Amino acid sequence: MDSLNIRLRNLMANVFEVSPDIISESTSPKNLKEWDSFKHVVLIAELEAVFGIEIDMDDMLILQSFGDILRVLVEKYHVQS
Amino acid sequence: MTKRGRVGNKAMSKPQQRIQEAINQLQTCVDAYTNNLSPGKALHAQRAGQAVPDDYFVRNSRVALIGSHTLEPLVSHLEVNGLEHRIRLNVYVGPYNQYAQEILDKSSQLWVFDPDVIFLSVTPDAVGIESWRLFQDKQETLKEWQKYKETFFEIVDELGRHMESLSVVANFEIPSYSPEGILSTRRRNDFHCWLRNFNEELVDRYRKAGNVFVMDIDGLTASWGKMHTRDPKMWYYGRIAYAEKILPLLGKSLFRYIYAFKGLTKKCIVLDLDNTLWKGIIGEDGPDGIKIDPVNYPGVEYYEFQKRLLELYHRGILLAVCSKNNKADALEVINHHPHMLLREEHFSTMQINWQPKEENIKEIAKELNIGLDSLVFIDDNPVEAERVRQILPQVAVVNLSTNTALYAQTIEDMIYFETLQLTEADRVRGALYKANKERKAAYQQAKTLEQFLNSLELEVTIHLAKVDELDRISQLFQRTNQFNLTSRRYSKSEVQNFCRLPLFRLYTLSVRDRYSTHGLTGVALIVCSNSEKIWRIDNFLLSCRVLGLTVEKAFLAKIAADAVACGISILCGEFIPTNRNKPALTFYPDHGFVEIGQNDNMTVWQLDLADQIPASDSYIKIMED
Repeated sequence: MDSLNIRLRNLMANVFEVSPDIISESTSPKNLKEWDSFKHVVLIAELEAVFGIEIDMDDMLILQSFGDILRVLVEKYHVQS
Repeated sequence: MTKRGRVGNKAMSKPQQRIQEAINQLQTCVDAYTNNLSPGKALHAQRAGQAVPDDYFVRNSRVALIGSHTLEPLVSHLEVNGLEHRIRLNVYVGPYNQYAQEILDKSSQLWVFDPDVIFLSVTPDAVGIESWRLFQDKQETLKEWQKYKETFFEIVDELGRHMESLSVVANFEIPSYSPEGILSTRRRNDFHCWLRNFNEELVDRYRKAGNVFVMDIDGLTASWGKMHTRDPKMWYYGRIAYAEKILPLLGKSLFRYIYAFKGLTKKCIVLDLDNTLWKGIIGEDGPDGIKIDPVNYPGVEYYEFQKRLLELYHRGILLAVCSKNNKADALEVINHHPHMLLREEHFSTMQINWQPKEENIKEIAKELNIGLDSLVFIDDNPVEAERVRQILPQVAVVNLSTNTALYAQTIEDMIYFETLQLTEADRVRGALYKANKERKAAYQQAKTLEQFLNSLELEVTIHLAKVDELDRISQLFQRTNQFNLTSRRYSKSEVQNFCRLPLFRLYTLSVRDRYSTHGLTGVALIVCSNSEKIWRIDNFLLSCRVLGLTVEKAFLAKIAADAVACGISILCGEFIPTNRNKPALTFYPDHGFVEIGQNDNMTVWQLDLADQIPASDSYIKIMED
């Protein structure tokens, strides 16, 4: 299986309907216009569905970049990297 | 679910091939969504749908979603259904919580969009209908709610005036929580009660409206599990009323209306026979080896499946057979298997031969004078299913689960036969409606209980237990609580002994009436003291399915007749009361037994067969084995 990094990149590219190539560690709602508030909801729902986790409200608010998400998935939700 | 094979043909031109590839890609995405209902899978399918040329779609539909909460998350789940069923959807989502203004303002975006289907979803909490308010000023609150209800109905009336569009209005979900706790069902005017009344009024008001349908969100959320309907986090974050996990169900449920509105309702269901309509293969197992059974596994799965098909038949859906078999063998099973629910009369046409299935399906369409796109094909064999899917893409081929326990559910979940009203095809089924009328008349005309029982055309079969009945017998010993004279429970191995040893006679009773087959629903265990000319009834029980049909009388009469034939003069038995077997309390005295003793709470009864032999009621037909 692909590393978590690649899986997450593909997942986010699918949700935002962009190429995975443009998603980097620092991709965030500030620099990706497709990452709007509705797509943020879809992203959280998709993360929950794909990784079988439930993301807290607090995390939902602070997960604001690719790097944040990757880190929190591993450290807090124990998703295998 | 089986993965669909993909079409690829070297004879295709390059553009054709590209189109086919796009369609294949779309179908792969739709299958992926079906297997794993995530929002990302829906988005993926949506994108694949954009690459598919317009002529893949047989219909377009403009759908507007309006309501009091965030409806955007529903869009992709709705669209993916459209992609599967070849309807290109164009979805408009109204601005948050402005449904009333949008509907009432003729120049609003909603009407500019010119929708052909409108979904209106309002949650009670969004309009102040919340349980806590009943504790503030109840009278004032109820008055306010009443006013809201009237306003809401006016808004829906306005939707109804747009005759060219179909409006689907969600009812209110009744929450599982009640502030009254267990007292909820004691109250006449509690919160739940108010919501229930609202829902009922809503349904009544639009029952006959041609273009307004009430969607039973309360029922849908209940079937999903109300505990999981709302994800509180998403509700607080963005007023998203439905958790992501229930959206596929809501999307599919809403799509049913679009599908029916667009007139895609199928007309005929084409069925394979072996391992589809029944368990077994005639060619290998023989007509006698075919299993269909109202109660017992594995035949029960197919019996349930046939029940669902029979329901479709009664809704005016044509049934047809397409099977590779010798016709005479297949007809033998269809006409004579004791438990077939579907008989020759139910099938509008039968293609039973060794021709390729696609040829037979074309023949069926021709014979019934309907298009291939009106057919749904069901075959347990994935190779046959795939072949038909590829050669006749107009035919809807069902992905039958490899888990046969889900066959009946496959029919229940189907969208294909949704219809907004009865069509001409249904109405010409005069014979069917005539039969229904007769049945209703029988209920209404019966002046006495006996007349009613007489109209049921009860048939019973009584015999000594057979080997293939042992499972069901021990099940009845274990489970029967109401009509159970002694509640003595026996395991299967004990039941086996009763059959083997001459000391015992184990009887079974099977019942059917003109409306249903109840199956094996009675057991009696007799201990024979032939030298003393006494038979003792160790236990006598009836499944609750047949209580009130008075079949116990016929059962006892048969046992008594056998006893007399064996030269027995006394029939005796015990009654042991439990807190649940009241229905059996008067069984012995009702049939002429006299009490001859008592032991703890057990009473002992006896019947002198020289004085009286119990007789069956004349309206019960005793079938010969």
